[in-house]
Amino acid sequence: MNRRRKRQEAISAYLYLSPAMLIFLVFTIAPALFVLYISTFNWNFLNQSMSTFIGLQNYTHLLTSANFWHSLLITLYFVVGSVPIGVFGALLLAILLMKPFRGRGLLRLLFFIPYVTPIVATSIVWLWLFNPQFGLFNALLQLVHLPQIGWVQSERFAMPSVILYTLWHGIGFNVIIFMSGLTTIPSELGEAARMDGANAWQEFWHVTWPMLSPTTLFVVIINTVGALQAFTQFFTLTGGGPIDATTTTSFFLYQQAFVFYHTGYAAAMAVVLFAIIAVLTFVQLRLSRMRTFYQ
Amino acid sequence: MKKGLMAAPIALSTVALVVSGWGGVASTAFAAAHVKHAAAPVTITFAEAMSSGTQKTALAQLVKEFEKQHPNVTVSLMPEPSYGVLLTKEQAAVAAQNPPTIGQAYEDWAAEFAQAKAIVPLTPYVFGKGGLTAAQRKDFWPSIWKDQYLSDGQMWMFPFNKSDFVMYYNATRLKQLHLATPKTWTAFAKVSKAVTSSAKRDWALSIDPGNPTAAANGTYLWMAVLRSFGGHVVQKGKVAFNSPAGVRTMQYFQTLYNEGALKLGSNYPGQTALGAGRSVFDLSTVASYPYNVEAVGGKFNMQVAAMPSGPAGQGNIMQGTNIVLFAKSTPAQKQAGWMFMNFLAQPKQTAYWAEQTGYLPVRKSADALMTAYFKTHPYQKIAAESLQFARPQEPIPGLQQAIGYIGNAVTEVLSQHTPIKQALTQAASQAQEALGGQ
Amino acid sequence: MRGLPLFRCGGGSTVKGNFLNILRIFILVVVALLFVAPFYWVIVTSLNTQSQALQYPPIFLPHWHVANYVRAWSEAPWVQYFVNTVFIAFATTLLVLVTSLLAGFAFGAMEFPGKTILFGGFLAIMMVPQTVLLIPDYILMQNLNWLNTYWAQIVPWGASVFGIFMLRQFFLSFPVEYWEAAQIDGASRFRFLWQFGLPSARPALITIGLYIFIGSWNSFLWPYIMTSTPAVQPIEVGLATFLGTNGTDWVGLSAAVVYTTLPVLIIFLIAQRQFMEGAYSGSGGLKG
Repeated sequence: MNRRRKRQEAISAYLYLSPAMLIFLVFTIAPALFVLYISTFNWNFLNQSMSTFIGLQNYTHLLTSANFWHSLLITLYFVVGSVPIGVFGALLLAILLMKPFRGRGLLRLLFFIPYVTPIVATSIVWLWLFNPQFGLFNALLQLVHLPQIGWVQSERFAMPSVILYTLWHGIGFNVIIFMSGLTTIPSELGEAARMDGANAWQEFWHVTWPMLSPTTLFVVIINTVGALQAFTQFFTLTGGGPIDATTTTSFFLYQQAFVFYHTGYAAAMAVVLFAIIAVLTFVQLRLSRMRTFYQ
Repeated sequence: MKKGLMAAPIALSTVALVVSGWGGVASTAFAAAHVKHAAAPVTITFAEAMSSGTQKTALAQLVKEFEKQHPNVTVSLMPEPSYGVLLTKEQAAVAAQNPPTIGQAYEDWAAEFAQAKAIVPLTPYVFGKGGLTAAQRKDFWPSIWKDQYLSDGQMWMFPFNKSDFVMYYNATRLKQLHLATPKTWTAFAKVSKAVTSSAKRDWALSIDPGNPTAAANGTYLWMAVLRSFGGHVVQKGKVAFNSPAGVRTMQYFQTLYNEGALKLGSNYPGQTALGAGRSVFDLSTVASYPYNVEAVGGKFNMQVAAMPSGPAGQGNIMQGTNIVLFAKSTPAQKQAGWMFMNFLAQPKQTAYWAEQTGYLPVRKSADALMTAYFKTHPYQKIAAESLQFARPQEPIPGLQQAIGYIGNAVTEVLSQHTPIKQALTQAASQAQEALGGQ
Repeated sequence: MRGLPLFRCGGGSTVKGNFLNILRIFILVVVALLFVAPFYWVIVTSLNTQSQALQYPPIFLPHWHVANYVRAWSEAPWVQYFVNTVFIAFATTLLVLVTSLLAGFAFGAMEFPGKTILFGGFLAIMMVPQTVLLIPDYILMQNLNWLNTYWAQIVPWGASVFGIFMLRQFFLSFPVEYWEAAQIDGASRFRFLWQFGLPSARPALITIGLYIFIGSWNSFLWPYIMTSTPAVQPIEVGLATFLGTNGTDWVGLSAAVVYTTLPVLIIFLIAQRQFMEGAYSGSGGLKG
């Protein structure tokens, strides 16, 4: 009886999973396996019959290529430059926004608005703001007598500029998620802490922060994966330049696959990139499990 | 329950479909169409990037005209927003074995398609029955006619929207400063220095140097100067822009930059700076004319002159695309595709196209039809006359990426103070790899 | 709404409390203004002539030069783009909600062999770099005859790891007693999901819906490659088309940016209360 019920439950569970699984299987998993297959070929994109099997050569070529390692460094720069500020800035804004006041809804909305506006549209706006000769930013720098900079045109400032845009566009989402996380923390815990004589910082550190850790973990992972895969803002703002200063691994991948048509090579890179993302996510999950008492 | 039972076969059949798609088995069946009589209705598709402004309306008008003359043919346009997307789409469509009948293509795209046997030579159509007479062939500008061939000696392309570089300048400013319009690069450097003033925030020229992902106007300008200094981008199939002429070219740009006369930017910075009245020149294609007029907005007198020349003459770079015929179409479609591209290049049509869009007529006899137009649009005459000096880009796969490294070298030398020789040597070896790596 | 105890002190009547409260609101207002500044700037640019836009020092006020709007409007079928975008976004969202609800319920509230491995596999899907799937997916779309259709823009995005993950967390914390009680009443699992699961998961569903809707609205590279005619293309692709091949009309572009962004803002303003409250109580499900 019990076994039959278990089997029935399993069957209907698979049934419920099937629509999502079907979509993933057809449009993600099968194509991903195909990419794995391509990565062992000198693939001729235009005429597949002219492709030749070359084993792991794409991988050895990739791992010995200075450009690839450079793109990983650039990616690291982007992740380290955007994720921590994006997460902690959002947490700070969320905490400041928690206590109701007149106009709070409006402010929350203003933070969120960039997130709902399309990336192509807003990066066009920012491209104009960044313009070294005619843009608003340099005009403002001039106004306060600071030296003007090249923004996306300069090798040094191109990445900070893209990071600035990315933070502006994405931080609102994090704020909303943090605010929702904060509302679920029972207020009794904080009251108890204060009765024990905790000050505001101690209360945050010993109550709010650990209670919030599942939310923080979620935001960190979503932001890291997003940063590792970021593409559109690089495409419209810098095109990977100047001189590869913003060629992240995602952009390098696009360039190799769709501009130069080194399909096999790009496929190998995709496999490596996938491995990196998976390992990073795994490590983040592990670390957080060790660090927090709250599951 | 029912749903679950059905899901499995659906999943299996979809996977089967995917697998068959990889082998490209499914779509080849469509190609096995039989030859039809010429008068039977036939539809051809044309992948193109003439998707906005007068380019769009003029092409639509030409299609209408063609369909009136050939009632059995329907031309279906497939507009793409830019050449970058057009290339992506054409390549993806070839890969998926479902290409259009004909499509716009640059020389190096055509070389790549030909190598993959994705397009067919036009030689049998042009020289065969229903082709062009000797007099008609002579009517094409020689530089354009030569551009239709690949290195194998076969004709693979037919000309469509051709343009070349001209020099736009702020005539009001030059007159105020009593400066003559520069005709040589030496004079250009002198004038550039004279108009530059950091106090007034004025300079001579803004360029987009481009990069390997996308070569830009600045890349082509650099190549034009190189040619007028007697150098070559590619010589005998090998990258040659790191020659002494290349070093001189880079020195020329470096001097302008160090004097504050030249600035780097992106998204047509030359046009923006000229339009703002800050820079005096914009060196770009004649197809930019309407955009430049809009940017200037009547604030001053903008004029057009031929590109300055160097010791080796005017080193103009031909821009714009040809049309290629894809291999997968039926013979009837191919015949109709050839008729359509031939139609577009006929004197009356190419003249109409030029007058509507600002591109250049591809045949000499079209000029006679355009005398009235040239009178009201003198800049078009200047550009058309420059066509004889304009050299198309070498039809080698990977060339766009290769010349993109020139853009990197320019940025390195100007803004990073990398030694010229070092930057050019590095760019040349990367470019050679891009050409050889295909 | 419960306030954070940490900042209760700001609500007190002490001088220090008042000061902190004012400082807090001041910081928030300044940051918010910085966030809106780019929008203000694009509106100003769009309402000036090209030469006014290029002036130095810059003009901070609009001159109501509406010709840019007229010109930009006439150059592309914006209404068509807009209708396409809305349709694609709604259809994708609906599909995601259905698939996520079913899968999230299975992962969160049911037992079956291979559950852990399957769930891990689903999470791994999130890490597949999207750009590279374009090559095989393009070939797949070609074989399904889906190129340049709505299908290609909806179905492949019809399942979301994010959605499944959130609903799994929700159903994990869904009290077992409810299901046991329902079983005694003889309810089927599906009826239970429909009658109890769906209504109580509404906040989570709204959050997922918002996330997917915006994601679909913002998607660019995929439709850029998979479609070729304005009849099925979304606004983002239409806007990219506007970045011409022979020049950049900054003021016209700004006008186009304004009226392509405006509809999504209006939709969002209308629905924001729902969205925000959904996000609020919905991602409470993150605690698992």
